[in-house]
Amino acid sequence: MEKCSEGRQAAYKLIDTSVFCGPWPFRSLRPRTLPELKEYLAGHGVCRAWVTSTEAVLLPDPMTANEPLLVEAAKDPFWVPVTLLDPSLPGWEDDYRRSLAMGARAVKLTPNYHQYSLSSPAVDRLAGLLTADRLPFCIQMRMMDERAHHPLMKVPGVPAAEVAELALRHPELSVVACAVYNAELRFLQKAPNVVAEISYVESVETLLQAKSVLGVERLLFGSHSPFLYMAAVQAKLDAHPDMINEVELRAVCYENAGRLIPDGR
Amino acid sequence: MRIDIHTHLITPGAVPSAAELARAARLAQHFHIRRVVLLGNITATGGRNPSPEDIVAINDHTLAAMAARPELYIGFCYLNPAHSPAFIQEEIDRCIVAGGMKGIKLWISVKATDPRLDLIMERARELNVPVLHHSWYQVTPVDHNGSTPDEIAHLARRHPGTTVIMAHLGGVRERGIRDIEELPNVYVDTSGSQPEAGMVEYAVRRIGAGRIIFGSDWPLRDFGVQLGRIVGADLTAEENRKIFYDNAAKVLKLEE
Repeated sequence: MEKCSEGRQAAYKLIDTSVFCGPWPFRSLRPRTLPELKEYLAGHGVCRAWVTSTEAVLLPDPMTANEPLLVEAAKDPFWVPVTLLDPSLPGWEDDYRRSLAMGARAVKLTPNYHQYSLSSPAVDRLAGLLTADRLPFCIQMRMMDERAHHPLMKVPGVPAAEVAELALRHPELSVVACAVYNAELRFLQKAPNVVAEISYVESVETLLQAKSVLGVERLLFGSHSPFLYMAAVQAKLDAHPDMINEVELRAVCYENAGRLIPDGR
Repeated sequence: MRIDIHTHLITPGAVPSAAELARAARLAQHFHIRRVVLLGNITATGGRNPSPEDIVAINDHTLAAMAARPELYIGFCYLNPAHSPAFIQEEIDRCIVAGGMKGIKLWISVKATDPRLDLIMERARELNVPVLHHSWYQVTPVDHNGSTPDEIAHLARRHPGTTVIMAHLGGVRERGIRDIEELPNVYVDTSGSQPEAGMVEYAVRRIGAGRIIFGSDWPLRDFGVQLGRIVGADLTAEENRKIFYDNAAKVLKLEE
C-alpha cells in the first residue's frame, strides 16, 4: 500500500477524538455502522475513538439518534461515546442525565445547526454540569466546508471567539474545539482550557504551525471520520523530529486525549 | 515518484524567499514529490486584478525560482486576460518560448466565458502547453470573477484542441466532474478544501484516472494532507501512478 511518506506517525497508537457514525444526507459516508467504523479506524492504528451520531445533528430530537448509539457503543471499550445535546430543547437536562447513565463520556454541541449561541444561559448551565462531572465539552465548529453546503441549507461555522469566551467563563471546564480551521486557532489562545482537535487544521506544516499557536499540550488527534480521508489527517502527524519531538508527538496522538477521558468506564 | 501540478510561493518580495524555497524543497523530498509546478506568487502581488507590471513581477519571481531550483520547479506563466493582446503575446513569448515555462495559469481576473481568453487558449494550443484555470462551486460569495466548472467547460468546448487543467477537485466536487465529463481535453487537479473521503474515487469512476492530476496548493495547504486524499483513496496501483505522475508528465511533456 502506498504511503504519504516514511513518517513516524505510524509508530504511535492513536486516540481519535472526533468520529461520527450514521448517515449524513449531504454525503454518501462509508463506513456507516459502528463495527465497520471500528474496523476502519483500527486499521489505521486507532485504539480508542470518541464517537457521535451524525443523525443527532439533524433530527428534531437528538436523543432519538443518541440513544441507539450509546447502547451499542457501551458494549465495546474501543468507543468513547459522546452524546450530542441541544440545550435549546425543553428537558435537555434530562437528556444529559440519561446520556451519562447510558455511558456517555463527553457532550458535543453543534450550536450552528441547532441555532443557539454559546453565550446562551442554557449552555452555561450545561457547562456547569460538565465541570461538576469533570467531563469534556466538545464544540463542533462545522460538519463540512461552508462553501460546499447545500444551497438551501447554508450553516455558518461557530465563531471561535465564542468558544474561547465560553471557556473563560468556566475555567475548570475542558473544552474541545472540533473541526477548527487553522486561522481560528489564534482565537482560542487566550483560553488555556480549550484544546483543538486537528482534523480541519491545515497549513504548510500543520502540526508545527498549530504547535506555534497553541502548544502541543492543547492539540488532539481527531480524524472527523468518515467525512475525511484518514490517511490525509494522519499525515499531519508526520512532522520532522527536530520540530516535533517524540514526547510532543505522543501527546498529540493519545496522551492529551487520555488525560481528558482516562481509560476504563 | 510524484509531480505536484499546483503550488505557489507566498512570501512577499521581488525575488523568491530563500527560506521558502528551501522549505518547499525539503518537504517535497520528504513526501517523494520530484517535480513541482509553480503557478506564481499570485496572492502576494497584484491582488485579484493584477496590472501588467504585477504580471511581469509575478512571472519574474517564478523564473527566479526555476533558476534557483531547476531540479524541482516547473513554471507556469501567469496572465490576466483583461490585458492587451500585445502584452499577453509578449509575456507568453518571454516566459514560455524564451523562459522555459511549461503552461499558463489563469485565476480570477476574468471569467472563463470571456472571449478575451480566446487569444490565450489559441496560443497555448500552438505551443502545446496546458492552461490551468481556477474553478470552484461554492454557496458562499464568489471571490471577484471566479469561474465555476460549467464555465470551464464552456472554455474547453470553445477550444477543444487546448489542454485545460481545471483546478480544485475539492472545490468543484461531483457537479464539476459531471460538467467536464464529456470533454477529453479537460483534466482536474486534486487540490481544494478538506480531503473529503470518496471524492477521488468518484472522479476516477466518472472521468477515469487518466484525467486526474495530483495538486496540493502548497503552501496554502500541507503536502502530506493533500497527498493523503490519493493515498487514502481506494485506488489501484496503476490509478495511483497515473494521478501522481503519468498524467502530469504527459501534459507537461516531461522526458524524464
